[in-house]
Amino acid sequence: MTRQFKILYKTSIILIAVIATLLIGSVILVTIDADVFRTYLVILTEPLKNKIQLTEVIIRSIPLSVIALGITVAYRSGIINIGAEGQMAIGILTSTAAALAFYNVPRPLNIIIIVVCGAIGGGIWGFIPGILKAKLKVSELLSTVMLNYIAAQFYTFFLRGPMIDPAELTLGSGTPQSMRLEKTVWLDRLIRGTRLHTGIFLVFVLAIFIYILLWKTSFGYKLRAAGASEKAAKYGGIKVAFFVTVSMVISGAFAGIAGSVEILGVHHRAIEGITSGYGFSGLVVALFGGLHPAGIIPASFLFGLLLVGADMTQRIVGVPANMVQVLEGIIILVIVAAQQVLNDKYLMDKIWKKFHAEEAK
Amino acid sequence: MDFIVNILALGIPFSVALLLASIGEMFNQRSGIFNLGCEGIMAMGAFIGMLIPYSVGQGGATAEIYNFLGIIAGALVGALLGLVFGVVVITFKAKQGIAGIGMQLFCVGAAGTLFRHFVGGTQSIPGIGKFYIPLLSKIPILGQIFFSHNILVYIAFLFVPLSVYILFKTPWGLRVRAVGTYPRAADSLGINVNRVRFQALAVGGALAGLAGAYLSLCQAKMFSDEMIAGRGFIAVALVYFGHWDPIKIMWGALLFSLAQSFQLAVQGQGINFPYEFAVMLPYVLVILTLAFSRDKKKQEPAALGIAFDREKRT
Amino acid sequence: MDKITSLRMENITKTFPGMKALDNVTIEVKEGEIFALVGENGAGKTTLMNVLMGLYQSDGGCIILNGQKVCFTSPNDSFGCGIGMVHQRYMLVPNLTVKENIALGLKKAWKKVKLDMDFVVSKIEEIGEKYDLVVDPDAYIWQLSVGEQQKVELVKTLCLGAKFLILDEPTSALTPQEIDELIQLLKTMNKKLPMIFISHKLKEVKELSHKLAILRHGKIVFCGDTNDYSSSDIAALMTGREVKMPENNEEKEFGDYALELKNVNVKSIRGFLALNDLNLKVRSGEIMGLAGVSGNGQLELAQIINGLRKIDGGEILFLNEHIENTSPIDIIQKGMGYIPEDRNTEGIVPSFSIKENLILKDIENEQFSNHTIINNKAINDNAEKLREQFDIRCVNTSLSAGALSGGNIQKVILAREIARKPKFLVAVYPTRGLDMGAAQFIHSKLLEMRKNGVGILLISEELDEIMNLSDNIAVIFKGHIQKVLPAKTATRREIGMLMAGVNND
Repeated sequence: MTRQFKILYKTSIILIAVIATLLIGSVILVTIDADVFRTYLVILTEPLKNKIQLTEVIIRSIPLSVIALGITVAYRSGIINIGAEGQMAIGILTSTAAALAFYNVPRPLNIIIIVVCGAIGGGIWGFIPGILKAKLKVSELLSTVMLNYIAAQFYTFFLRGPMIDPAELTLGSGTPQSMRLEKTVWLDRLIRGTRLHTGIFLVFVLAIFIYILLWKTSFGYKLRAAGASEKAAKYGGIKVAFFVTVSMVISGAFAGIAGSVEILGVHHRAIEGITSGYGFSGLVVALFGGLHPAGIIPASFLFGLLLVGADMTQRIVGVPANMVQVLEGIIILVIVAAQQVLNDKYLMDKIWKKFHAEEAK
Repeated sequence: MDFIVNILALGIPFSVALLLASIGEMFNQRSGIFNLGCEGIMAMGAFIGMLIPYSVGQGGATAEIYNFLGIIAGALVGALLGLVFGVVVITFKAKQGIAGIGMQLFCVGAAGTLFRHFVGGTQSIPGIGKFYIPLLSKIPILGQIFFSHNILVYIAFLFVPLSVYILFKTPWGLRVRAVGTYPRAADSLGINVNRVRFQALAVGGALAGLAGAYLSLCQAKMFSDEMIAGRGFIAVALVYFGHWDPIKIMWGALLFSLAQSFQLAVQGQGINFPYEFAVMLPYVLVILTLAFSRDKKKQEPAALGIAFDREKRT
Repeated sequence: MDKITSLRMENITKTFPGMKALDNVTIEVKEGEIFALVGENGAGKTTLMNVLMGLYQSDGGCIILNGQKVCFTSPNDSFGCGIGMVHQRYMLVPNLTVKENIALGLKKAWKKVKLDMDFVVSKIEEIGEKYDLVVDPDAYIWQLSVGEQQKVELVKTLCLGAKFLILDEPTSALTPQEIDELIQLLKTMNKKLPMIFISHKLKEVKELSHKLAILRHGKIVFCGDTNDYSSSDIAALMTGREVKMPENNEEKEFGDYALELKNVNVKSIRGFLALNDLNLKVRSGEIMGLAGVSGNGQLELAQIINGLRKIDGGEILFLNEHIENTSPIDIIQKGMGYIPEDRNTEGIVPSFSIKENLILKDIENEQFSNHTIINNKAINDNAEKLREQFDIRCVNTSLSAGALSGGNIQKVILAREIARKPKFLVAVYPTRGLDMGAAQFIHSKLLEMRKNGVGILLISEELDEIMNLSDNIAVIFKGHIQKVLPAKTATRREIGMLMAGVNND
């Protein structure tokens, strides 16, 4: 088998995967009488047409990439974290509480405290499924989903009760949201007239941190060994339970950080609906980015585009924004199927032989 | 007394969606496939189930017929989606856990998209009413608890002994159990492992679709994006809780639905308790039962989650 | 078809990714014959039979049955023609009963909605009478011993209407006495049906077969009457060269006790005792062979010594220190080496590169990372050194270890374990499934370690391997050491009796 053939094989599989994704998506689009081509065009190009929309794409990609980096750590240790949404919600609660509690601390320190509190909140929410998996073999797929629902209830409980903005009570409108944070902790805006904030630099710092942690340290080596083959890792003296738990704490902490950055950079208070969909989207970004920081950053931009674009399809071509969920689902299905095909040496061999036979003729 | 009767009379119909979906998932898992897409398939079943009576026949003598058409359509769509999942995890041998998440996102998204296009906003439908079993429903207390429900409740509970019979007494059940434990052995006897798994996925999907249609047509009498609210995931958890045994699964489903009806009844009594914590209860319960139901390894189908590849050399 | 009078496989070719498993193979079996198919591990014996069973599709060639060309695309086709196979790894579903396992293949029992179990039981009884094979139809497979399971396999194959039997390494997990019994049984059964007997044990081949074919690297290198050739002729033809397996015949003084197990008890998942009051002592520089039928506690023993499983009672001393219920890493650091049973997923991390696997136990060392940043140069140098020293055949050491052949994977494991300079080594089935060349290499390395004063616990199901290498032989039965015998004077017969649980003391 030649090298060219291998490259050809892999690129054609990826090409087929992309076409399959678009085709399956168009089945739904045709059912709702939408213009398939225009819908895709709107999703993928409309947000790039002006500065504000473009920065909105980047704003969406910030929490997506941070969450995806965390999910990558968990995934590499053999645990699929689909609870980022809940971890993010708890992170928002703890960081908002910290921001409201420490209002007279100097600015840089205050921001650090707030982000760390967000990380702690998310980390605790990640620790629960981690320890349950490590010690009691509870499937993380189920426990993290359940914790999402639980976190959502906590979130509304605190925003309606203990943390509600006193102004809402006096006005009597009762919107579930916290008090606005002091301006001193807001992240700086990078471009006038847009919401793009300095949180974007944090993404690069965290990406480099994860890269070094996973691939350049003995800690990362052991964590990846635990995920790649639990049996072999145990045999090699690696404490698998420890790494599963710690990686879930890191994963949850990253979701919590994503939450606090959203609060500090965009919303400036805890409101309802901030977290919605970020957990699953983060998972898609992590998978699409090949579970590697270098892939996750571009992938998060693409999915930021998708999210902003999907909001626009409703107005422009009358396609509901739920369509983005459909596409995410298809992308996961296509990625996991394509991965198997890409690594199927047997199939590759068969196709190679067929080509070869034809060439010989 | 009324309080307890109320809890029981409410709890039994609540358990139906969980019961149907769990039994479906049990067939999937017994054949070796872990289908986390259950939640999504339920959403599609719920949507299709309500769409038919909503769009074709409202009111009048034919309404009941369309309701039942809705139920059947929900089950058929579920079966179809089960087969789609099969293409991904059986034909392409994709990892099942993560593929299930993809399936769930796809189905929930599709249900939401289609709902917005065909229905628009929240619309309530007459749905399927209660069916009082003659004589039996007249028995005091017991009649109210057991014999005054809509027809699907009775059918769902009939599925419990039926699935025991199918699993342990029929050739198909034997094949399902064999391919989920030691597919290579079944293959060496000329059983088409993948075909049996596809069949089990179709059955499981149909039951999940049916569960969804039950929710929209009988329980909520409407459709909304969040109406499944994790029931699909709870159903998957119940399969573990019930150790892949239909009868134990039934007890699990009843336990959860009684917890839910208890919560509603308590609120009805005007006891001051934060609403959010009451809603949390079933989810907390799932985590606790998963953590403390022991002996998981012993009954788990040995080939669960592993794609079958005959020519893969081990 | 009432009888199979002749079966011919002609010019069969089959390719797997990267290797030609079968190359133009032709064999012919006639009525009343036992035809032996001989060859090393990986020579293509099982692949050839899987083609005959319709489990694999051949790339070329055909099968001719009673003079007629047939085409098998599924096991159903070959059953239909009366060909049945007893696989090396028994094809029985453990959590089903005997009769359920048989019903699984018996399509006549599927006719009604309900499974016709009465029919299945009557069939089992009929076969039992005809061939004198008695099994309990209501027992669960997991309750049966290996020997009993094999009987069930035979009954199952016959119930499904086999008029021609293929037996793939049927003796590999049996005690010597059980093997004798099986050979007698097969001889009487042969009067009613022809057989293909696959084995690499020449003694059995000589005793049982009329004709034989020798496969090497997927090709038939010899075919003829068994009686015309001696065992050593066949062995030479099998490997393509004279192979002299290394033997332990050097007298030496042993050191102090390196490993001592005292009254160890371990409960299995199902509740019975997997290790039952086990006592064993091994000295430095001694090779202690552990003989036994697989499933009698060997794996549990290896696991508890290496801290991978908790014990429920007793003591384990390693160099006079207690190691029971400590963690694997503590035991590794005390100088324990371990070649695990499952080399593909336990001995290596398959998706990691060869060089990464070579430091699996040493990643935290000063040399490789000093607990923080990984030193890639040291890892590369280490890999190059070991690759040369242990003759690991690979394009480069950055490739994933899972892609290596079984022999090379075992060399990676051995290299890692030996390079760590262990004070003791537990080796579980170290040469299972390897060709003779690789086995020879591994045996010589083990003897070299013995020479250097390392104590070795050698767990194997190949009695030859144990008798060749050991200083002393311990026999395990139902989790208990029956007896320890000096290897020099031990006989197969004696070991076989002990393996079956018969202890005359």
